[in-house]
Amino acid sequence: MTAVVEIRGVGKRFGAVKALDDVSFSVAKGELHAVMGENGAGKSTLMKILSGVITDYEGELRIEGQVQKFLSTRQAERIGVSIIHQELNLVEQLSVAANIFLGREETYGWGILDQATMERTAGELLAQLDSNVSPKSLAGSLRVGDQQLIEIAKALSLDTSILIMDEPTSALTEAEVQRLYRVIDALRERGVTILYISHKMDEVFRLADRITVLRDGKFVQTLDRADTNPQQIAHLMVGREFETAVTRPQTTLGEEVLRVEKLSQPWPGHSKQWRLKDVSLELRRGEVLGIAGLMGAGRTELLECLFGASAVRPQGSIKLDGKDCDFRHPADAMRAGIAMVTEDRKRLGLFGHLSTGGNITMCRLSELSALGVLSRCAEANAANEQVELMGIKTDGIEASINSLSGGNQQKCIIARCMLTQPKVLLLDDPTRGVDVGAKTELYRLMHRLADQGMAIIVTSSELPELLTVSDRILVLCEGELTGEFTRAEATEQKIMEAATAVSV
Amino acid sequence: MAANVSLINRVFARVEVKLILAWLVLIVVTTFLDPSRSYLENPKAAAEPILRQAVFLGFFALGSAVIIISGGIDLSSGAVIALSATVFSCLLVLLDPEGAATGELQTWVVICAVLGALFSGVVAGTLNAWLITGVGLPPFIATLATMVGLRSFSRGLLGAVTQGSSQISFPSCKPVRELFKDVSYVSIVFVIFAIGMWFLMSRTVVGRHLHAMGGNETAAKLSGIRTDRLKWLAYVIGATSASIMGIVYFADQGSAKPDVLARGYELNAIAAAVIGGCSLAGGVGTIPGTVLGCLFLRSVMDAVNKVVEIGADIFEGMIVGFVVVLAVTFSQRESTGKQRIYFATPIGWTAAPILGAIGGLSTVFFFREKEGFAMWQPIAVGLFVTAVLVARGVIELSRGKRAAAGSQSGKEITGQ
Repeated sequence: MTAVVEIRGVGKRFGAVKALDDVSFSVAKGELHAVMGENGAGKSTLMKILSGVITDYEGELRIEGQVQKFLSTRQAERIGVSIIHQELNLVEQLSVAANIFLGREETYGWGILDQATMERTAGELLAQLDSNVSPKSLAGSLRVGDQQLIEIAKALSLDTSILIMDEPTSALTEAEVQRLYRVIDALRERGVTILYISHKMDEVFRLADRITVLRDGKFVQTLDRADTNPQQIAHLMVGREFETAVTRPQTTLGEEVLRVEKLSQPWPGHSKQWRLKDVSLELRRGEVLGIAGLMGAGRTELLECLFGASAVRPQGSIKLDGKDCDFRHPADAMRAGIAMVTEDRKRLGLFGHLSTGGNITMCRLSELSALGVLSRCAEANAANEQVELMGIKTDGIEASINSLSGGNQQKCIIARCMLTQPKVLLLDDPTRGVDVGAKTELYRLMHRLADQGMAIIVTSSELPELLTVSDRILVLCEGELTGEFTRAEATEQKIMEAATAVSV
Repeated sequence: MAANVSLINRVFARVEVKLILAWLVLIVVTTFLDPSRSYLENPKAAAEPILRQAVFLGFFALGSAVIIISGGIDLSSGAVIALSATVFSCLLVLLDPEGAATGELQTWVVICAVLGALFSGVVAGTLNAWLITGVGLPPFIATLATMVGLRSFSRGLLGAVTQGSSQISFPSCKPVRELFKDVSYVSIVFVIFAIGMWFLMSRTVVGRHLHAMGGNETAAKLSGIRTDRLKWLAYVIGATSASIMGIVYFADQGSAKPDVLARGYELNAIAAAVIGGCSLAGGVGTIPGTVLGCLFLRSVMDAVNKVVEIGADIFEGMIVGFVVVLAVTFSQRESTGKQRIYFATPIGWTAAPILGAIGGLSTVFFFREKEGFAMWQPIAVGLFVTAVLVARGVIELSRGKRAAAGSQSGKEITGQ
């Protein structure tokens, strides 16, 4: 077993925070090496150093025995190291082929593009990856799973020998995950070494040869998959015992709080006329309702309609506590008692230039002020109370929100919602990009809130998660309800069948 | 002890503190270079015009800062100044033709005219806000349209009221003009206005929401913030502060000439806000910073005026451009922390002689009428500037080589 990547004593600071501290381990040629750790453990920082995104760090890096100090990603790519970021790096306005060859375009000479060659090569690369996407289609028009394949195709076209994948399945549906597994198998047959970052125990145990665990920026241990089990890895990641299984005893539900009847959302300019069609549901106090469905099934759209945040106004009726509601703006929904935690934290949720406290209190400022003048004291009290209640790990409410880990940022946003004292809490894929430990905490939090009488609707791209947290699960397929299961009835199999049902 | 150090670091990291330090340096340097030694010999007389101009700029720069912090931009503030001055003077003429002729205006007329001028600001701001939120135009396009449109509209209005004249003059418009003879009076009004704005932006819910909207508009909307109404407020604050300026300019100059009044001032206002630490990306910036930005910008202009002794208004644009580039360059250096390569690139090598030529020609512009001026001086200046910048490029180049050599030596160690 020859080491193709050797990491020796690598460290990196961001200001006062030590993101990585003296990390050393090596990756063997041709293996799939998983790197695991909670958010903030330093996985992404390490991968950015390996791929030339971060250029100043302590320690040294050897690729194929040679010390490398990459000054740019371009240089790393020349040596054969490519990275596929969790947040994809595509120019949405350009075609698939143009993205694959961006910066290395084929020309006839004199700077005149050779579109035909690029499109043909791109088509061949995509065919190898089991994808039938046209090289001419715009990158922005594709689904996330296909966009990811473009990045992989780009890495292949670079003759990559070491491929870093940073949480590649976090935005994929089950079917796309299965395809990705096939692609990974094909890459390994070509001898590509893969560094695979993930939170998901099941996929790591399915794919990896060896697993390295990081915790708080420090190397913990590298283990052969055969010699370990998920419990041990989870234990190493958090450094303490915790139960992965969270269950909620069957509870008696309260009275009905939300009733949605025949909710439809038109889809102007699209061949399918409706984004949502005749969706009806009811929700009781103390109930956790899960919404399952593939990407594009309308999960997010449904929550947006309930929150008054949809671009196109829905038809049908929404009744909250028996009263008809017509929300034209999220402010209306919030006043009525609905709060929503949005899917894309960075883009739709966080105020990156504000402090942790400022992010938590954003929705409740009018109650924390007199005649429009903020009370610093009341604001600090409210924020501190939530930090304690939610168990948010931060240097204090004055710390920048960007210094927090993903899980803690998510808790801040939930805290923001809770401060509005909602009757109904909408959570759109709340555990996306959140580590195992924090996930368990979020499940517990949901159950605690439900026990206190909160009605919760939660969506997720991970079925096991929905099966864990929900009392009842509705399944959407292409904007229509295709299944409803109680917790006792629901299985992954049944939900997948409903989610892939072809509408009549 | 460690806490003390970090406190000092925090204080010096603030853009306001840096601006004050830069301003002090500027004053000291100007004092030595100024041949008339006016800062030393008559500080009060020297300070007055700076203060006056800074305060004038400050009124509408604060409005622009509010809009910039909220994530927008206002190109129309210069035109709104012209509109407000026009409305003000037209109301004086229409309501009290006799008083307008003699200069002895009645108080109620002046009050009506002031209210009318301020109202024109609210109208202009609302128009901007509607174009942005209702029609859905980008702020740059919307206010570009009102920038050219409102100025032309003001000329039409003035022509209609005066039957074809292009300006209204009040050489002795007493009740208004007396207010502005003494700079301290305007300054007090400005200080109150600035404190009000500071309070609004840093201590109120509206201010926090404006910051939030500037930083992440979608997140603000999804947090239940009525972003459209907030934008209306920002643009009305911007246009109203410009309309205050219209009255002040009119009173100061005694005439309203909408075709030239405050033309291009919107860019000075944006420049002052940027120098004061506002980010055009939105969400970042302070009112005290903007006030200091105005003071700094006007002080630089005054310093050039003192040292050069010929019309600084010709060089106003050059000065504003230079100061904006320097201020933003320094703040960028702070935030990225990386050693940037300015000149060791093909574009950089080309820029060095361009900057040298600008330096040399500026020497001609500034000093050609001075005693002892000779053609070799600007050439020497041009060559000197070019040489310094090229030297900097060479240093950057060698630094890059050293970094590369560092990884090279690493490789040798591996080989052993």
